Amino acid sequence: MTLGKLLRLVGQNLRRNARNFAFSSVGIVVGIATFIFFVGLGEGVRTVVMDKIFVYNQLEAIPRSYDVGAFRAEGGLFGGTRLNDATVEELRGVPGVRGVYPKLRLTFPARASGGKELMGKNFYTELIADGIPERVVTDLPDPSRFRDWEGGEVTCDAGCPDGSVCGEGARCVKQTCTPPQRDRDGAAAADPCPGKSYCAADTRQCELPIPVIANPRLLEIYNGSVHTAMKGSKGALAQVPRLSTTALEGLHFNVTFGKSFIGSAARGEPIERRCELVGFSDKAITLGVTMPIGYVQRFNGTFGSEERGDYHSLLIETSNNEAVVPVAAYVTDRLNLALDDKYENAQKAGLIITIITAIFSLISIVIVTIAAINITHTFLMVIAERRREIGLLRALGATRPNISAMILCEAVVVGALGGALGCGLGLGVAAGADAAFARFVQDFPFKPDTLFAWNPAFFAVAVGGAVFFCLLGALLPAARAANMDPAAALTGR
Amino acid sequence: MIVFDRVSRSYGRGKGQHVALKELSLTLEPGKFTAVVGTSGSGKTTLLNILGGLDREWTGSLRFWDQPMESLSDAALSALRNTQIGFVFQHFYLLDHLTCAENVQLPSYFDRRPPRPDQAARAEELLRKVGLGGRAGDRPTQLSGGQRQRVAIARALFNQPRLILCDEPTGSLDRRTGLQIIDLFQRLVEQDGLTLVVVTHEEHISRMAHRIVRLEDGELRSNEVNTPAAAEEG
Repeated sequence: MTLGKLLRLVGQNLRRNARNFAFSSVGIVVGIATFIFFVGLGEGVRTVVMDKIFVYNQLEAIPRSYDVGAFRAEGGLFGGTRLNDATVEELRGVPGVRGVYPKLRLTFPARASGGKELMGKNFYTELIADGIPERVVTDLPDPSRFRDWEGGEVTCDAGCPDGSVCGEGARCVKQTCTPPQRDRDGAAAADPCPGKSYCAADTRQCELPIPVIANPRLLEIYNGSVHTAMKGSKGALAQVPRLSTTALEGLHFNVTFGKSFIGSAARGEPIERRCELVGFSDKAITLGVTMPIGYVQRFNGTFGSEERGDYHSLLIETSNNEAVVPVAAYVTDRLNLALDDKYENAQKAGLIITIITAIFSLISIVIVTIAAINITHTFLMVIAERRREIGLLRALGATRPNISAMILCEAVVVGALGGALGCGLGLGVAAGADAAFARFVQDFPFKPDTLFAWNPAFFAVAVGGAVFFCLLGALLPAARAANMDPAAALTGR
Repeated sequence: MIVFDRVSRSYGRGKGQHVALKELSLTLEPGKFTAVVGTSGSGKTTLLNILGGLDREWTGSLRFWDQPMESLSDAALSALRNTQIGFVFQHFYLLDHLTCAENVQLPSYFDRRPPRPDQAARAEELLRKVGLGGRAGDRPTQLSGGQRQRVAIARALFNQPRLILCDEPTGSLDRRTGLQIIDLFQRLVEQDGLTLVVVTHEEHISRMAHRIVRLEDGELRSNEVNTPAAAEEG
């Protein structure tokens, strides 16, 4: 029997027994819908947790610390690899590593103030900041804005930046200025420096703001927690708006380096500089701001403690999630470095999500298995009803494999249709869950737009699984139909 | 030529064993109408099932135009049924969800030979031949008993078989309609040279055959050449 004829026969049989098969495929539809719903939910939650909360494919290597009595010692003293340029180069050569970015923290107190143009009044805070090479920040709308303006001489060829003029040797020279005086109310006169530059009190030169970036998670935490919590407060705080990356880009604020609310730097006189938020990037420190590493090196040289010039941590980006474990093993076992808590937490979260997804997938498989048993019963019933017909087909020349193929093909069609309907139902329920989630669940940090993530492989597995279970359910009926004695079937014996 | 040589068939085992055919030896000539008669349980249908390749649990030898049926595999036997044997049953066994034309074409589904381009036309031609021209698109439920049996006959003829096996073909029809059906069979035998074996317990039907084989308790009681009566006389 050709495939075309087989399909024609199957189509005729399915149309005739549509009600029976529709009833028996309910279990398949429900099972597959459950599978699709929970696998999509698991993947969605995993995406949020791994890509947004933990950024799983980014590891941060830090010196290993040891608790010795009441003290904690770090790194090289006990044989750990130093976080220097040699280590950066070694890590860049490890398979699965896409990039390695050294990070350097400020090692002295600093504080920041600003935000009046956004909030209506200035806010003051301790400043936590670190520095990374500017070339690694590529995910900004304009990466060229994240630049160390003090990192070397600027030639006049490309035009001098705001506050500089072309001087001797075709090099840009900062303009001198007189800092604007403040009146009795504390209001400052107009700044004499052009463009974005401002007149720094200590250098009496026009300086460009230090470009800084922030982590999008900081914004999430603000919008999800601070903004929600402040709604019920008195005064100006109750008016704080939800913030977006675009609203914040270009924000200027002042930083006092060498002095904070807690204390002052051991060395150097505090200075005030202006910073400009030039964008948001996953490469930035989670709580605080990140600036080009050159600024941090210079400030640490002026205000910080004497150190041997190592980095504080190395941000390691892997090419994919699969490379995370081997790269992590290399960092911890070969280089004897530690990984920050994020990695361990990400692993735990990933494990929990996997277990929960597996449990619900198992439940859906149980449902589909029960449905397969139901399919078996339906097919046995249908075959009993079609006993004479099968006898007739045998009399007309159908072989045993023809009969078997006919029953199994019916099962494939029932499975494929049931699987497709199950996928549709799963997607529909997921859309409903998303709508309910968006409407009834309050904002929280990292609240996703959707709880689900879909991969074409899910649907292939779902429909394939439905077909497989239907085939499994139809095996016995198909064998029974194929082995039916045609003479007995025709005479009703 | 169909030759039965000591063909036996029994059902069950031990004390409960029932012998349906006992060492039957019989020759059926091609192009003739043979009626197999006998009382209920005499072995008529068993003989028909064995001859049609529907029953394989028998002993002895059966040659179907030089093919030893006892040695044919299930697939070969299926092919033989499909291409060389046409069946007509008492209860017609038409598929109600198919049209008459589709029912007639059913044997083509299992035909391993290259498909004929004119299958639908052939089905309609056969329906015309059995007196049902214009009813190709009707469902069997829209037809009378006699008309349904004609559709079944057209289906039996579709693959141009050598042998037509009929099990009580008029058993569900009134006498007049039954005679019309037998008349149709007679014409097919005469015009197309078909070999026809009809199992019946109706004497007036058997009188229209060229040979009357009488079975009793699974044994051949008589095997007589007959001068067929015309359907009108029956």
